[in-house]
Amino acid sequence: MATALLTASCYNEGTLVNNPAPLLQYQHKPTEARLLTLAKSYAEAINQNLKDQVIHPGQYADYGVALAKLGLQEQANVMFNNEKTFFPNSTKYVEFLKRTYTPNLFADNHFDTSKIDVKALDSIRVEYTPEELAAQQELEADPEYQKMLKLQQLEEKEAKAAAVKKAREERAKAKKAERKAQTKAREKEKREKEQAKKAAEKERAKAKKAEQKAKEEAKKAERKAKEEAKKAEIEAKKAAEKAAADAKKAEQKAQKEAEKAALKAQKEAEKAEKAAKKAQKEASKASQESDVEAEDE
Amino acid sequence: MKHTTIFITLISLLLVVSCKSEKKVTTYEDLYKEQPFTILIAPTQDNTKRPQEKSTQDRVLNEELDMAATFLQQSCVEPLVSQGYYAIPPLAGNTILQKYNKSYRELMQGNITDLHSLYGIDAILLVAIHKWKEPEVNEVVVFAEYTLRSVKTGQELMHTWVRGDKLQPVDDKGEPIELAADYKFIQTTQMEPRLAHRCLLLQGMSDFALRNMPTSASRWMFKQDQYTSANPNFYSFLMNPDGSIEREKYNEDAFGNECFTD
Repeated sequence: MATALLTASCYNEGTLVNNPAPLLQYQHKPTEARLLTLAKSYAEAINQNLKDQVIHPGQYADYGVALAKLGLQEQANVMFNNEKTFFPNSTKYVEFLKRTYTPNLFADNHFDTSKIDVKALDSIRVEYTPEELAAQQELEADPEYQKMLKLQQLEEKEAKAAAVKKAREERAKAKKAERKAQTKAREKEKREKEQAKKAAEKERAKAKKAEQKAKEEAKKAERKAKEEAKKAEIEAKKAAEKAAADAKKAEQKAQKEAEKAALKAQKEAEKAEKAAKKAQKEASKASQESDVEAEDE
Repeated sequence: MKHTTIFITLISLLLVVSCKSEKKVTTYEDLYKEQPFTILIAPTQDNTKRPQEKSTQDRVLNEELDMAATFLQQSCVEPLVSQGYYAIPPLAGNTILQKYNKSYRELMQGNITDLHSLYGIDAILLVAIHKWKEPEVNEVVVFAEYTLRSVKTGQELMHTWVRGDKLQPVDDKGEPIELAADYKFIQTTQMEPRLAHRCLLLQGMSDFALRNMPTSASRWMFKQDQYTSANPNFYSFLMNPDGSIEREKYNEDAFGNECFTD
């Protein structure tokens, strides 16, 4: 409640007093009767603000001062605590007010933000000044005032009757609306159930379809995999054959090259043999020649 | 509803009338810096000259002026609250000041820092009425001064001098006619029409002067309006018979001459 009111108070400030006259009259000439009128005015303004869900800064503090001055210490203390609760920045000065007006209840921090019973203030007996009494008597003697009072009472009565009638009508209206809302809610529930059933069936069909599709896709994938495996096998065979042919070719080539090398080596050996023979021949020739020369000599 | 209407009218008037005047960021520079929240409204300093009570008429007039001065303090509460400040209400405020026991001059110029430490007050609003005039049967004029003083630093956060003027429409015979709004106020408060007109003028002036202040730092709008126009330090405030409001910058010397000389 307090939080809601505090939040609301940020947007609307309400009014300190609905009618500025009681405060003005009390401040101008403070009398008990005027103080009581002012207290009632504050109580009415607070109730109005509660109805509008707003709190006016300082309203509880001022109402508390008025109550304390009227001798209602306990109620005043509650109002001071209300002010402190709603407006923590007011703590210091409200504590000063508590020390001044309700010192015995200083430690009592009980607060109550419910509607104020304005009529309870009527039971307070206040002393009227002779001037006020005279003015009151003068006012009461005035036929215009009496007429106005009667009119006011009549208006109040009419307003009360109208309010009762309105409340009754509103209750009936609310009941009717409730019944209508209940029927509507039932219909809505039914509709929703049917819709949910349909949706579930649809979902089931969808799921079945999806399952079939998945199966088909799996088969397809299997087939494809098999084909691919076969293809791979053929390719591997081909590659192996090619590799064998290549190896054979390489072997033949190597054999040819070895034969070539052997032939070349044979030729070279023959060549070397020939050269050796030639050298031998030449050597024998040379020794023969030297023998001849030696014989000659 | 009534307050909202007044507020909207005043805001739109402010925007239209004061295109060339100083911005709030300059006029209320210290207020933006200090960001006061809890404001105490001191009782009105009434500097008006009063007739000696030789007749009932004099007595009635004096009483009327006393009540109008008392009303000025009360009229400052709503505009401050609507701007997001915490205004200490009259009964509680007066209890504090009775205990504090300092004169208007001391509150205006002296050291008042203990108001913060003792009562948690950030600033004090001092209001004064210097003169009442009734140039015509259907016209009432008042010279008033509004000062917002920081309790912590003693600096003036706002200081405005206003010449308020309220005109009432008149009938063919030259007799004043009550406007619907004025009539409603008179009916609610059961005030004498002359007093009611003084109170209505003071209420209008307080609304106009204080709703021009930046909103309190507790509101999200704080600093949003710092480049909008501020009221001049001296200005005249006219409430026309048709209910419209006019504001005009006033020359300081002319204000002084009219306000402080007979």
